[in-house]
Amino acid sequence: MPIICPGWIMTEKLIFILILIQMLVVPVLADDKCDDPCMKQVEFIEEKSKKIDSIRSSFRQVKKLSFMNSEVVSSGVFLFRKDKNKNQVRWEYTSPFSYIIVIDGDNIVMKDNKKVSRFDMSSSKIFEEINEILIKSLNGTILTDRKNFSFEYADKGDEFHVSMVPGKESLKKYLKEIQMVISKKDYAVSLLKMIESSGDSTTLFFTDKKINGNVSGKEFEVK
Amino acid sequence: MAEKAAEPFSSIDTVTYKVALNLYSMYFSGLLVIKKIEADHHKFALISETGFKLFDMEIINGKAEIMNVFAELDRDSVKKTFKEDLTALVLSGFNQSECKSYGFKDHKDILFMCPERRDIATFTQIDPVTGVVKKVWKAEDMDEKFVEINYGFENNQFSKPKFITIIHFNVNLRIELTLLEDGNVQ
Repeated sequence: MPIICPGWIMTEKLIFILILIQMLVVPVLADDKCDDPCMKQVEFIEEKSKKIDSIRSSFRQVKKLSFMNSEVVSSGVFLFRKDKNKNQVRWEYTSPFSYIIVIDGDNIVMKDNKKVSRFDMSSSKIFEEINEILIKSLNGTILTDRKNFSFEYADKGDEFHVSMVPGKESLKKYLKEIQMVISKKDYAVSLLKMIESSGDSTTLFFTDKKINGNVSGKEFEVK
Repeated sequence: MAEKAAEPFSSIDTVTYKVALNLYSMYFSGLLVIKKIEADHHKFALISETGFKLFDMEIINGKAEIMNVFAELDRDSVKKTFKEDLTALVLSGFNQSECKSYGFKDHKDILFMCPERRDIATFTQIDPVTGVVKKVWKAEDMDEKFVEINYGFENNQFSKPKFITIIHFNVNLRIELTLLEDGNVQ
């Protein structure tokens, strides 16, 4: 039987999903200091990243707890797939615990051991603002969304580094900054770091990436 | 009897538990990180599996302070529950010499009854030979429990319980903690 999550869990997941989508639609915007050659490079990366239809990757997550000066490390498998007018994302944590979160269009499904929780993002007006940003991310208009984020961009040889700072107070409450590293080998994200207002951070390292390989829609079904 | 209770989390550095929380029909899961700073001084962090921070807490000599709390969790009743449960979990402020002790009819465990506030006491059940804490509960009367904490151990690791259940009887709240393997927390 599906179990409905309380509101505060929904908020957390929505923010997380927003970040995920930000990650998938590579926000290769330059800041105001980005000159013409820089912008051309940005546009080139943007075009390349738009051609990514699927990703299969291992991931390692490092959570730094500033208050305790501790780290919690977990790992698993990440899947991404473009399906007609929606994006599908699956995170499967395999170590040191089992946990699955799937985002399939407007639906979020979480599986913890045998318990499955389902959440329809459109069911809550409270999160309209965040959802609007999510939709903009899905259709790519986030790339010009300077209203919600300010961007900084740096070319580092084989990598592109992107820093996003939320502009809206509702996001600022939770997130101070999002940092990304995009590999020039596959134009997919290889590192995503989310820095919270509390000083904690969550860093995701993506390895063994397979771009545009076979990722089935059935892999996003959770029972 | 052992000179002093083998209190949970008394000789650990940092441990992480998988959390499963059932409140009526709602379900939440996450991770609870517990770090011992010094004697009767612990820090806690509750995060989601995806790494999102829900709160930090510090407990020193029975006094709990919660901070960096996620906005929608920032409610007095929620914070009070977590403060009281985690204070009891690590037996913070527990002092045998200030408690009355009792025996059981059918086994040899010792029960310490420590008055907490008016009409409420904390009961701590201890194995007299090993000093291991088996169970903690709070009640208005010895048998009228409103919260109970059970500790389960493996391989004689008495300061690092493998399983913990926290059961509330006045609300339909049950929290289950399962120790995650070492090597994933530093």
